[in-house]
Amino acid sequence: MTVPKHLVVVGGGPAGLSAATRASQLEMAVTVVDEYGKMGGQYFRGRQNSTVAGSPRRFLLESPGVEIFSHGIVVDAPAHGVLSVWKQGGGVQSLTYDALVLATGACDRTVALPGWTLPGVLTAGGASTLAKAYGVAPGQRVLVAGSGPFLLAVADDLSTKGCDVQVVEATPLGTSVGGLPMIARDVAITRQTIGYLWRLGLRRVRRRYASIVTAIHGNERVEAATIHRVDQAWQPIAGSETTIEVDAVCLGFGFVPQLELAQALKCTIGYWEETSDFYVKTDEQMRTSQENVCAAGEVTGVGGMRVAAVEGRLAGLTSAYDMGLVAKLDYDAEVRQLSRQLVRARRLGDWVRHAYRPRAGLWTLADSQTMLCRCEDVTMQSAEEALACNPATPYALKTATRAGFGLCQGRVCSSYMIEWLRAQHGYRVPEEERPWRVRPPIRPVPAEEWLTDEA
Amino acid sequence: MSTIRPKDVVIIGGGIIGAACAEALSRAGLEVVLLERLGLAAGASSACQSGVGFGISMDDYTLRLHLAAVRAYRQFAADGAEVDYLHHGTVLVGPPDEETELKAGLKRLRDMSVGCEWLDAAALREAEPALSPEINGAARINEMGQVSPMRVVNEMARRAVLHGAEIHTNTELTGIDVKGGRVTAAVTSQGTISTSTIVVAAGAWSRKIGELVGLRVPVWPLKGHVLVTEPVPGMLRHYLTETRYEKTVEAVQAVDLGEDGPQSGSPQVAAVLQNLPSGQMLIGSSREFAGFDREVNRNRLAQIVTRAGYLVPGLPRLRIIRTYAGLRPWTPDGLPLIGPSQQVEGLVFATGHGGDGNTLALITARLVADLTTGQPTEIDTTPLSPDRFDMNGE
Repeated sequence: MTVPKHLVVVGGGPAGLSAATRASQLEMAVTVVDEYGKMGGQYFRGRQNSTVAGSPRRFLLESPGVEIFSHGIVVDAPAHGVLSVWKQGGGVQSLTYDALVLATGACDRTVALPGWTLPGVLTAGGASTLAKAYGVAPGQRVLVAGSGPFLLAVADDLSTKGCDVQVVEATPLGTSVGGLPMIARDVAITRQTIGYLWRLGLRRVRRRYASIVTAIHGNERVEAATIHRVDQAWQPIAGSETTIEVDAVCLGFGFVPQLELAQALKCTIGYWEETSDFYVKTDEQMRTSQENVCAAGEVTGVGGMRVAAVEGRLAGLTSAYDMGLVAKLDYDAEVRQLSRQLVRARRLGDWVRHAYRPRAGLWTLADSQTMLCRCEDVTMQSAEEALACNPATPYALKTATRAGFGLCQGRVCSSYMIEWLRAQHGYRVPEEERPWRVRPPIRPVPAEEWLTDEA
Repeated sequence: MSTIRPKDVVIIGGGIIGAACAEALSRAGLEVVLLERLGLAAGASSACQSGVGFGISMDDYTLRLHLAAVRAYRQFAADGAEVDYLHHGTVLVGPPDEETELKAGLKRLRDMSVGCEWLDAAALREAEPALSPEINGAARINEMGQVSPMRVVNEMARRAVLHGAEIHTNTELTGIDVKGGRVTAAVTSQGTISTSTIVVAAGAWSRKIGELVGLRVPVWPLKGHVLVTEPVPGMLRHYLTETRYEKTVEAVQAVDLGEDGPQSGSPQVAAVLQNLPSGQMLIGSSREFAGFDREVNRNRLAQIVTRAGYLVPGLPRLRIIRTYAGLRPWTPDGLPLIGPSQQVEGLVFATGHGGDGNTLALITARLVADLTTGQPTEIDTTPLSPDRFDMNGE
């Protein structure tokens, strides 16, 4: 008997689990690496009972042979076909693969606005995780501000925890209403949306539309926030401001794909200018530019759980096919079927990403004292000063100010920095790469665990 | 840019040497333009460590040059330059059998009025508690310190602009016009600038500039690796290094120089540790010839961490947040090329500083300014003259 081909899937969310399931059905030995203890990714956190496609329960039922590598952080891709995975306290292991699926998901888009570094300001995703996985509310009176339907989910989670919640959505109410026909085609999403609106209505959660939080105030921590109404370009309208007392602010201006591993593997990265999104470029069957490396889910462009689950399945199938484990006729037939599902699933995902995309006004909210990089305490003023004799590029800004030099290595601030340079300083994003270098290790790791001296 | 007026001086390279030269020359009243292919500090100046110092095995001339350089930094910082300057001295560790030699080196430093002392085990524990308890003595040398080279570059560029200099980033030098053996213009990707003087401050890439006028500049890239840790403020109180470091510098000077430059390989590793004002620790160092390759080699990183762990046992447990490799401009005799060349009139060199670019930046700029304006220099520059190499040979 021959040794089965090994597929490593990085990320145990809907995309990764779907890829693992399909590949294991096709005789591949599969390992799923995830940073957390429970599979399911951000989406299924606190939804452990769900059995829809891509859910951890469905995964466990359908793919009993898959090896789970939980609490595993990929810190390096030291050679072709090898990943270094760190398990905190358990050392770094070399994981070899014949095929790889990148399903590393997305994280909240960070926006520098006055007061964003105050204690009590969280990302919407972070607040949702705290509430669902740990039962912790960020405060008593909570402002959920940003853009996109995820705000409703967070407001629902927090109001369930008993918080007094207000929602501030930057796009106009008409945008959301315009999406109703699209939502109505999907029974589950319709039910979910009605559920949110019903509960938020019952709990009298105030929702403002076409409004944005322009400043967060407080000495030691959040005490209040100022809200402006905005025009179509999200420019605050003078004289429209209100200041409300809150003790926590959750900011959610959409999500950005986590591309560090894809970059470390030198996968081609694309950029959609209109929606300010970087993503891993793939062909229609989810192959990246690197041989035997597929990508699926939010890393290929944020599209939601349904898209992720189908893309994952397709990536698992393609990985097996590329290893010679699937006949061409069977492959083509299944690709056609999955592609049809993808077209339907992406319709809603693409609409959401487009309808709630960041507008130009978002990159102008920071004032001179706003932090650009909170790890290294770099203010917008020092960034502006550095540009006096530097080109307006992320690298020059980084070198001149140390922005992005800290513990997070720009994971928090680099997306904002790139957009700010585009919007305010005419910077143009280069083709086929994300202009923010990733150098090993991909994530902080103790030297003695990562590096073994073979000399 | 084709419309800009003629310039007195065109500087090639926006690293620490080029930026310091731009400041010194513009302060001397010359009209200066600095051309940089990428952005400021895009090469070795952002892929290096932070030390400003000298070696105790240096010959008298080199040591005097470095002392002048180190003192220039102290003055620079005292005058208010915000460049993360730390003047906390170095602890230099050697193996026990080198103690006598090391103490002799200290005596020589004292004779040149450099503050230094021998620390016995107890004094060492107090001076540098993180150090391995197995180390029973070390030298402390007061004059050495640290700067942020990226800060120095930006501060120098800012000052140069105040003195009227122009800085053009994303601008590549594509040709040098020479008429009657004299420089007449710099041709760039953005246009041509008439000038009688071009300063080559292109670091490891200087050879490519020389090729534009048919000169074979004896500068080759010498690769070095650095690791950066999570913040550990105050873990070290000095810039910490070992005597082995100077041996690695000497070892790469002993390599065979073939037709195409030094032979690849011969990796050398020694511990050089600097705790930055941000709390992060820079861990170096390595030296090897690998062409222009800047990919990090994990085995080399591991060797560096092992060496560093001998000195500071707690260090390998720290989390690494970033690693990088940079290219030092190496010369066959280990000295930089500073000053005008007889081979093409108007071509001035400020390159080839090896691992000493940070330390020597300010003094280099002063020497270049004095040599360009015909002033007497504070130190004899004959040993640094580019004309010690024949750059015309086949």
